Amino acid sequence: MESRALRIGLRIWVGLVLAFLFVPIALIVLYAFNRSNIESWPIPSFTLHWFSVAWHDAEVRTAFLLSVRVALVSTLIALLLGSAVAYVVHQFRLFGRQDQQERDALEAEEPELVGYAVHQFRFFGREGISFLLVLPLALPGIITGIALNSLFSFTGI
Amino acid sequence: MGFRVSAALWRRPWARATILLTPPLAWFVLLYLAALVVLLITAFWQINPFTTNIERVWNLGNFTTIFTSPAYRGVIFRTVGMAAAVTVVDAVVAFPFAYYMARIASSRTRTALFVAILLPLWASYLAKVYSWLLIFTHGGLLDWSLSHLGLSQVHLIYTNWAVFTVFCYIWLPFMIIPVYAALERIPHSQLEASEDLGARAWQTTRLVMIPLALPGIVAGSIFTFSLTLGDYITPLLVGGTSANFMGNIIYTNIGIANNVPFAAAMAMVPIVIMAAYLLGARALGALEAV
Repeated sequence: MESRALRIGLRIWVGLVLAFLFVPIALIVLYAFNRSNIESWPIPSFTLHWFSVAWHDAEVRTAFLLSVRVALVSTLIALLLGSAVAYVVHQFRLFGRQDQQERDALEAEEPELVGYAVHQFRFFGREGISFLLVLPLALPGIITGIALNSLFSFTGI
Repeated sequence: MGFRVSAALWRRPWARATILLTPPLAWFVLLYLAALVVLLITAFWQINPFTTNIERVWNLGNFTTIFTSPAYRGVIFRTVGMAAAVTVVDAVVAFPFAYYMARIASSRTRTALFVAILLPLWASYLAKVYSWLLIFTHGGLLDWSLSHLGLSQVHLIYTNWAVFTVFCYIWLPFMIIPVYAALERIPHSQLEASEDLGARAWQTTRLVMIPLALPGIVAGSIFTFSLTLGDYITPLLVGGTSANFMGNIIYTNIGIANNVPFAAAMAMVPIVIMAAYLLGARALGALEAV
């Protein structure tokens, strides 16, 4: 068991990390109410003025609606494609998270399932699939951006 | 009819899997992998310096420029160094936090901490970077706090230290989550065994927990390292005029210089680095932990 000193130390550490995470977010909220447009601390006085400015700005409104539309479409596509992969991975356990014992038990129940999984396993390679799935996460966004840019200009879309 | 189809599919799991997997795989191969292939091809082309049109002439000119120019080599080293430093600091900050979450916190506290880690991910990236601009700026929160503590002021804004702090801040949750997941999976009996064999808390942490948490740390490092490797917005906003990172080179060559082949060649550098990193991570079994 951890000693008392270690527990206290860890608790202080967690508090510091939480402060590190949330002070900037709290700050940006406070600055939204800043009357002055000089970015200094402390904030001299508070106002709701900027909310009214943002609300009546036509450009902000179109940008907001465009963001919502892009967000909805990409969420829908990711939800459909992602759920399909997640379902198959769960059903066939391609990623072999289960141990051998569990696999044997499953084979006794549903040999066809495991047969397919093992076939797939050999075909793609379990690690090959996880490697491919991690690739879009592991490559920086600007690479995906420039790659798609090249693809679209290349194919003339 | 619909029933018969679903019954037929139910009897044939492989057919079900094929139907379900075709759309995501097609999307992945036709869009994502195809785009990367086109990017690789583009890297071997060049632009006409007068018209800035792309000329489809195979040559290694872009790569020669990148690897022979001391300026570009400096950018690559600076970016990799920054990514490595951010990764190490985030791992050191994340481990005790994840340890507390997995081993000491009550289940209610654990849930609350988990939400607290996820919440900043939902806040806009730009808003968070801008907030650090407000903290670091002259007369900002940092200057104010330091003067109230009676310390001399430090001017971090538009330096690489500002870029470093913001990167550590923004990617920290990406490190805490996999490290927590790895620590959570360690069976309690293994820690008890270590204790029974006479190990002190520190020895158990160093000899049992850190090795078992390593796949989680490596999984988190994939995110912190790669996200730093490609980011160009943070250096643009809080970095100085010398804050040139690989992402900035790629960005200015797409936008201002309109030299897409050169940007593509530059983009190959982080791709190769990340591919090597992922192969190393796979050897450590970290891809399972992502």
